[in-house]
Amino acid sequence: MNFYDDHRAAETALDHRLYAAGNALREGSATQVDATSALRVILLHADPVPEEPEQQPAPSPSSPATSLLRRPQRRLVLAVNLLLVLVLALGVGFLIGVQRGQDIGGHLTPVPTARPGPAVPSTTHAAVTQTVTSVPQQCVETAELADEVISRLNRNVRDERLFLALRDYTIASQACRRQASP
Amino acid sequence: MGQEPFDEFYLREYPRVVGLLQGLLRSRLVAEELAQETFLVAYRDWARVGGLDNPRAWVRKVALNQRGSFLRAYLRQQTRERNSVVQYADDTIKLSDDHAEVWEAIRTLPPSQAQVIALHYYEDYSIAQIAVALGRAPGTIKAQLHQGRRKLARLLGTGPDRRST
Repeated sequence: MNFYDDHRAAETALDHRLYAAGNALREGSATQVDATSALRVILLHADPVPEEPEQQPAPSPSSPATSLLRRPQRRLVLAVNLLLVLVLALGVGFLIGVQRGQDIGGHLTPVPTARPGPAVPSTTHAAVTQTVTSVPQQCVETAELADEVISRLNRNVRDERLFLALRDYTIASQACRRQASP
Repeated sequence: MGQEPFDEFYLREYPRVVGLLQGLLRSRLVAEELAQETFLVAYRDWARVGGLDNPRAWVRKVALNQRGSFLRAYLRQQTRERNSVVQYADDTIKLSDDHAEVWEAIRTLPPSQAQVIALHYYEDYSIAQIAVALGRAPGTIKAQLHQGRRKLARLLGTGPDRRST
């Protein structure tokens, strides 16, 4: 066999090996990758961009505007509304609390931290509303771990990392409660 | 001809794209994550993407071109999440040793050559199809395929100078 035959044979052998590896990976991906679950995740958690206005049927004048929204969009609008109501309620509650604190405390300014203020006169001290401005580190960590767990669940990443995050969350949560309770 | 429904397209193409990315990245978890991101982009714009001449090529182009940024974001996220990256022995699509060795060698190639090799031998794409999918000139693809094959022959010991007979 001369050099050119040898070279051609080597090229063919390489080709065969590469095609075989390609076929093996293709078959492996077809049998080992679960596309159905992954599709469910996309359909559940993603909203497609609405089509161009000219592609949609013209709305009848009598139909309410909300009927044009798709179901996930309606859900989103509802969630945003609920959130706004919650924020408003918290704001009002906070203002009422501050107002009552001022009413009870008279001219005294509220103590900014949870620590007892030694300078406050003892007659008004017990009734003053105290605002906690610091959060224990364990609670911050708990919130971060909860975010991580939610993120993994949203992406359907249910492996050992989720388990580890859940375990760390449980430990941090217990530590947070211990730290935060008097 | 009407536009193909997204779910049919997805069920057919998703495993293929995962396989392609896993061939280039080794990690199946990362490959699935990137493939999912790619199909999410397609899903959100399916009215346009589904109407393209070749949505398959579009998906592969997005997956391969955005692989770098997705990968960087993925790794950043992992670092943020308290360095909890765990390497699993089964974080791959199972292959025989010989085939795994070939893909291992492909992953050592420069990314542009590895992409061309993967599309040619995994997707059975011709040079013209790869040129369209990657948005490069056919001449460039031909050169990259040639260079990639030459390096693989050396790495895998199938070159004429390495043969024992």
